[in-house]
Amino acid sequence: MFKKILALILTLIFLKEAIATRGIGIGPIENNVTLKAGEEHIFYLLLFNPSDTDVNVSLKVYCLNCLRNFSFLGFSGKVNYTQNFVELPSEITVEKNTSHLEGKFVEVRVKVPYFFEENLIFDNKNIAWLGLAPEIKELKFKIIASSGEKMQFSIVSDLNVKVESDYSILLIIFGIIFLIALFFIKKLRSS
Amino acid sequence: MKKLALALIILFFFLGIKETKTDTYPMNVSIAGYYYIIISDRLAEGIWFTNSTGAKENVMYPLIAGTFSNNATFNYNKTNQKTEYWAYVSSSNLEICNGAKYNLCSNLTCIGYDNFEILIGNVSWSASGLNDEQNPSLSNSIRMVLGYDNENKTKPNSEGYVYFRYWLDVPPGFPAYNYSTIYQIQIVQEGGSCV
Repeated sequence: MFKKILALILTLIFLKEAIATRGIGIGPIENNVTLKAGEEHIFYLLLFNPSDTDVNVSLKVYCLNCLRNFSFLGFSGKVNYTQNFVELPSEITVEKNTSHLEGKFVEVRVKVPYFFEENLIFDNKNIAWLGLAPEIKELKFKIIASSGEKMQFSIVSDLNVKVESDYSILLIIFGIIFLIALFFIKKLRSS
Repeated sequence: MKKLALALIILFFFLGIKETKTDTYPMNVSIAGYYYIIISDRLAEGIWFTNSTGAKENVMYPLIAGTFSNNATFNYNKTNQKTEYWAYVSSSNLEICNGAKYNLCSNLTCIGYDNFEILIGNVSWSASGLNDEQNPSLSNSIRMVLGYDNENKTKPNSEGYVYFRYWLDVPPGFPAYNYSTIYQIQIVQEGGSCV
């Protein structure tokens, strides 16, 4: 009798192992925001796990259009915007058997700065400078949640940031330059 | 000079106002649902290739160099001849890409003078919405690529399932080692690209 019970327990353990699926859910599928330079947007990425096993999920952000061709006064190359304006935790554990109503929320911050650090790749040399936000119209990101060791499975949330042109910062900069120039002109005249 | 100072004060006042406008707030948000993927336990534990005897018994046995179309261990479940490699996605307007991170290497990171490498094109895969002895089939198989194969994305069947089978050619002359890589699959919206 005892042996039968033991065999049954072992069988049950085996069956439990045999149905240990893995999975991950994400939301929203797509997030569209419109931001002006200097504005920050917060949204919450939903992660849940309808499978039978807890999963460790790593989150990464890919920018699809941060690398673009550049051409100016006969010079050409590639410009790469530095992708430093989305903050995500590196890894998160998502508990098993959770529906989209019980999932974890991860705070995602998107900020369009006034200036972008740009790296011009020209003639195999990397030249860094600051670019102005108004020249960027749209930024397309993919937030990818990946899990697994021997095999990795990943799921994607699209984030499209439409950047509205805001020239007020340019006006302020030109205003400062103008006032400084005015100051020196006056000083020269007085001397 | 006084006028200049006054102008600068006004300017910095406006700059200050500008700064307060950079506070955090959400705007123009449109959220479009959620989705999920579940992969089978056999797929989650990795794809292990075996010889013809092992394929019948669902046991992993060592392979011999110069053998072709070696089955993954659970390509054909010995009891029902169905594949145990499947993925379920919660929406039919999603697509699945797959691929490998590295070639099959004897060293985990594929680095080192003693590393032997089997090109990933020696692995082939086939996907289907049906799961029986004939489907997914070797005759429809596609060579695996590094990264993600955006040219050969697969769509789930009407119930959300995609079934997979995998095969490996071992080129002649390769020494006896454990060769491994990381297999990866990614789910994207229909028409999207995997990165």
